[in-house]
Amino acid sequence: MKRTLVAFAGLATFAIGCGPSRPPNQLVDARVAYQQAIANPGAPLASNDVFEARQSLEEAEKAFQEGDKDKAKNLAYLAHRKALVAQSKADALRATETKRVAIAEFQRAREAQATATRAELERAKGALTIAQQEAEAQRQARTAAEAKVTQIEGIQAQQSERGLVLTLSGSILFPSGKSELLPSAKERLTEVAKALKDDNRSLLVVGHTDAQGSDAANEKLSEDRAKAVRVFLISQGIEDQRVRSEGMGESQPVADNASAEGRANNRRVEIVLEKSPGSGHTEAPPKAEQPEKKAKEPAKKPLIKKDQKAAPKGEPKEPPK
Amino acid sequence: MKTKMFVLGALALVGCLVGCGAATPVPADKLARAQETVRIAEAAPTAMVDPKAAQHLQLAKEQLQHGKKLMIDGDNDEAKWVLMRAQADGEVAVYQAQAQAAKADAQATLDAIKQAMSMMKEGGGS
Repeated sequence: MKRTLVAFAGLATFAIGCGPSRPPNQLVDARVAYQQAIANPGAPLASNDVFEARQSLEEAEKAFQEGDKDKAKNLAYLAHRKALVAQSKADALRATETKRVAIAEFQRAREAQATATRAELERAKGALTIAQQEAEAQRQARTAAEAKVTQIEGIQAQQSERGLVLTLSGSILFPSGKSELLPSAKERLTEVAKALKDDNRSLLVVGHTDAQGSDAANEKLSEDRAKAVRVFLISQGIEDQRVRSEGMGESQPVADNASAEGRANNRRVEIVLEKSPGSGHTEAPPKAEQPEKKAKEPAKKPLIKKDQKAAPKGEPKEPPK
Repeated sequence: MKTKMFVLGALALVGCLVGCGAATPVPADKLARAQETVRIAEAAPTAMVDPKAAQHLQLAKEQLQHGKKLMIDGDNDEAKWVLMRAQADGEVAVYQAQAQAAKADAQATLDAIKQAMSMMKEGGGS
């Protein structure tokens, strides 16, 4: 019995001594470091170093299996460091790759933006060229229109701050005291409409009278005459929205109302080719000189009520032409 | 008789010396490599700054000194392993420092690109 126990104890001791012993800490650390190295996202970039770490770990494992603990510890230590080196190289290569990709993407984005900017610039250049061509065409059309319109008989043309002012004598446009256009006036206005048809400037038709008659009557007459001219121009193909009309009555004389000649000059219709739409009739046109008033001063807006018996309606003394 | 005894003694000493030398030669190459690696690691700017790299550099230096002492003591076998470990730790310090520098450089580049992209968006939205 005693012999059996001793034999069993001896066998157990032998079994414990020869069985798989606990691996040294160095080997455990090396295994963990190697697993971390192969799990590193940059591991494929450092495949040679990962391979070396694996070989080193296998040598340590072999020494451990062979029971050479000291050698296993030393080789495991070295394997652990190889795995750390592989991790560091993978990290460095991954960082370098990240940087390279970022720079490449940035350069692509910058190039795309530069291309877009160039395209935009080309579009702007094209638009500018078209605008310049259109402006030049407009300028030529205006010049041509002005050249044509100033050649029409009975029309005086004068540049002003508002634009080109075409002045037509009232006596050649309307019968005395009326606002129906004379046939000769229609001929002239037809020519005017033809000349201005391709010109895109806004037109302001302004009627003026002499100082004969009441302010109110003159105001009405000047408005009606301006309207008549406007309507006729529209009938001849000028766009409706291009033409406005207004009557100034006797408020803006250009000559002395005391003489028949002066009154004839004051009876007129102006067609203003406006520099800009709606530049309007806010300022009085330049006057050659302020004529002396004998009977009365030119009325200023708002109109002052006048003595109605001073003269009948309209322009009673206007000699028919 | 005395001459015979002397010859036998001399032969025994030489045999011992030869025997010891053949077991583990002086690891001069390991010492040189370890010294060179430590020198490179010390020259790396971030090796002193990065905690992990600095730790491995310290280990390398300590083991280098230990290896030298073992050589002086004649324990060449142990010295060989200690010097190999010193070299391994020195290499870890070098590559960890390089990795840190690469990461910092990449991050700085990414930040600069991010800023440039932001400026491009602000200025390029015309």
